[in-house]
Amino acid sequence: MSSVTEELEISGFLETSFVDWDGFITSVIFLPGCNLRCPFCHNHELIFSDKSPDDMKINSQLVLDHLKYKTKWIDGLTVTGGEPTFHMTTLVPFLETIKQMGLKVKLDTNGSNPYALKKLIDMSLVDYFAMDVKTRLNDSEYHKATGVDISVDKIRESIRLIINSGVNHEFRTTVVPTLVSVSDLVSIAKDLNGCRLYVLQKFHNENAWKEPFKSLVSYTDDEMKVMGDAIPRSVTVKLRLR
Amino acid sequence: MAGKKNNDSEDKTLFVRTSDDDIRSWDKMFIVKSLVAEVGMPEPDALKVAIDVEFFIKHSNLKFVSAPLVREITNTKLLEHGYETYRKRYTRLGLPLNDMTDLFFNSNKENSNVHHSSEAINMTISGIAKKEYALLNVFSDDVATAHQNGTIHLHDLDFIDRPYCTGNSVEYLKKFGLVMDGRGNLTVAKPAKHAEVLILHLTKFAAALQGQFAGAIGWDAVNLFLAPYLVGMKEDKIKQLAQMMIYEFAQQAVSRGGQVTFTDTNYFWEVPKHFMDVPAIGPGGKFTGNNYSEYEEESQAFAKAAFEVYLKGDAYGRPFFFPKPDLHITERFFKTDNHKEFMDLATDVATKMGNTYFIFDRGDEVKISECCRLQFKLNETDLLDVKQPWKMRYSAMQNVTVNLPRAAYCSRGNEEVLFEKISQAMELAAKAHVQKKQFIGKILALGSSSSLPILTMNLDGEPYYRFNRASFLVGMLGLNELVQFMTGKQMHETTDAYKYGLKVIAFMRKKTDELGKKYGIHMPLEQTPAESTAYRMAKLDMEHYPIPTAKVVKGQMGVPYIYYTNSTYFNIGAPMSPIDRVTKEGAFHPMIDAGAMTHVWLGESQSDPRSLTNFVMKTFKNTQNTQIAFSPEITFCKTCNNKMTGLRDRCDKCASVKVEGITQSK
Repeated sequence: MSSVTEELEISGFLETSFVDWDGFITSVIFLPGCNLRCPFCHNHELIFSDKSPDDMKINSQLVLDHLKYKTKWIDGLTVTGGEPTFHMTTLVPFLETIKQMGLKVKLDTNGSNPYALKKLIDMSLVDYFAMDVKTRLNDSEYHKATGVDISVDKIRESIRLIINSGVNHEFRTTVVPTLVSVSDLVSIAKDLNGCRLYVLQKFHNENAWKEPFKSLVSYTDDEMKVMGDAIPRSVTVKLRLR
Repeated sequence: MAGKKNNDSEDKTLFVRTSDDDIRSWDKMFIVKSLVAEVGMPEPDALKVAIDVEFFIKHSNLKFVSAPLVREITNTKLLEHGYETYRKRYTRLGLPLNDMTDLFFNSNKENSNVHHSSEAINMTISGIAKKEYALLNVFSDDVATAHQNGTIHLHDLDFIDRPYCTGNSVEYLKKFGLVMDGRGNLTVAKPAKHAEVLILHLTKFAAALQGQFAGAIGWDAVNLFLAPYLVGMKEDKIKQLAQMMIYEFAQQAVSRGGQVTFTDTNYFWEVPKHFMDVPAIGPGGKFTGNNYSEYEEESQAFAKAAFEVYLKGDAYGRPFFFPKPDLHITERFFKTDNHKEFMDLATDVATKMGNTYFIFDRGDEVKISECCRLQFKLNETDLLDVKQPWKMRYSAMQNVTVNLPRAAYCSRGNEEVLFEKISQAMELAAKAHVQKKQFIGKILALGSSSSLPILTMNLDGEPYYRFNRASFLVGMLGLNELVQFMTGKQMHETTDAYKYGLKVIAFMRKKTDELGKKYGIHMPLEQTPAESTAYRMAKLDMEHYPIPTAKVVKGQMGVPYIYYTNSTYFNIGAPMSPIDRVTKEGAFHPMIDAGAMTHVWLGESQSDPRSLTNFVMKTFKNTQNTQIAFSPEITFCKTCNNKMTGLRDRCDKCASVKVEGITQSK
């Protein structure tokens, strides 16, 4: 088994997760750095890659060695962040090693880097994509939700790439009160036409990055159900309440 | 009218309120007679004491003399005369007036299964007297002292006159009908002809059994044994029956002490190998002419319906705490159609409600589960019972837990001494078992006039309680703290510490075999369900061994918050992955014959049931673990009945702070 030559920067490792990939037991690695500044982000410790202290860095070879002993249990690896696609140089060889070990790969992405996604699809390195769609695909709304200027064309491109890739996937929206309305969700669902699954995630303020989101009251489970019901039936919807 | 005394010399004016609601004039010969009769004192000695009692009472200017007071004074005089043994046997059991007042006006906060009620007070009072009786008159002084100083813990002393727990067979009710009191003096029912009636027989008999056992009442393979009554029934009817059974068990808080009957119901998806060729009993207690292998469809329909009821919860969507569903997985499970879909349902219940216990019966192992952990692994003789499944009635007579950290402290770190101390504690446990066996044996020997008439009921050629087949459990508490004291590390911290733990349990296992042979009893190890014992022993050790205890005890410092880690568990707060936990804790399980389990905390995030199915199946295949359960965190709003995942301070619907968090510890 080849070892990774250039080290993938890893900020967090969770050996066993029953929540990241339905039906599978996965390990999770958290990669640092993100190009978005979503004020409600719950993994905001990872936003600034240069700020991650040394003791948060995890040797990627150690992760591989650890996984080697758990292949009887672990079905796959969830790669999340931050935004993992900004580590392509080191991520690609790392994922190649993971695939050689017989593990499946799930990749979480914000969809802002379609070029990277295309490469991962072409190289068959990912078995499941989970892409965030923060709000309706409109530049000003997206700016409000992500805190940066970002062209929604790239988001659209990523959506199409994933839907047409033949790779299993889900799109997901964290339903943040004040940022995402029912009509936003319906609009997003239209742009996701042909997707395999659309997940509405309940917002929780416990680990939100900034005010007012740190004290924002979530939609209730019942309200989430109403919103799920509002999505056209052509799109398969799942609620993730916790 | 109080007994009164106006003048020292006037005997006739002194009256005593007796215990049988009478008021009698003073006569010291009553004391003499009772000392002779109750403790076998020679009459002249008894008279000597009685004279002193009379002297004291007559010189005390008492306005009120009651029989208990006379007894208290007599006891003091017995001590003054040096009759300590007589004093012990002459003592009165019960509780102080103030404690009784507390019982009426302060609710019971100790046992989450007990709800404050007049019945619960009855149970508390009887418990106090029975416990005192047990320590004075059932167990020898060395055993009682070892319990009181925390070297060992004798469980359920408040039910000393009953065996500990039991595993039962629905087949008994199907074959013999319902004799509620065991004597046939109350209304007797013939074998049920309809499923509803059978379920009522089952729930009523469970409540009756709860009055004759201290702990859990288990029922084997309920779905399979109900199956012959379900032939030709539609799905919705079966669902209704499952719902009826679960509610009937869950709401029976009118039985002993106002408690819910502590019931375990065992389920199988597959027809387990050992029941496949067993002739089935159907309506009216008649053999149907088919074997149980032919009732797989009905059995599965009931199991599925029951788990759907568990998933829905009660009227407010809250979990049913009883009856507990124990899902057995045998090798045949994996070869049975739709097993994965059923497992997804069971794990869905586990992740949303926490109910399901997954029990792994690998190879040809056959087990019945009863309470938190207790399982009866059936041996060859037991397996002969399988052909007549109404005979499958098993019991543990008593449970005694060994305080392992105490043994470590007393060894001062010397391993040889440690094993000697553990041996001594286990020897005391074995003695306690023999003494309880003798006591219960004496009660049962009274036959149908005994205080355990269901246990002496004989409908199939032997008493319901098969005395000579009873097990005697030895539990352990705080293995992790023992290891930490001896090696400086906790079991999750180093391989050496972990191996040390395995060595201790292997030693205990060997010792139980030895002692079992020596005393002629079956004495398996069990993981004690010991939440209150974990606190009691830690508290006692903190008092008597403060320096070593402070080094290893868990919880917050300050006596009300400290505890030892349960049985052979790893530190519950240790940063261990679920995989490591089920694997490493599982390595202890084969040595703990009478039941062990691993608890997997799921925390806030709602796990995907199919991922948990995946995990449960791998645990069966990859480990020696014998039982696992999951604990999700759920919060209920008491104001609007909203149910939320995770532990919350306030309702996310109505903002009420009247919320109840549920995370089970098993």
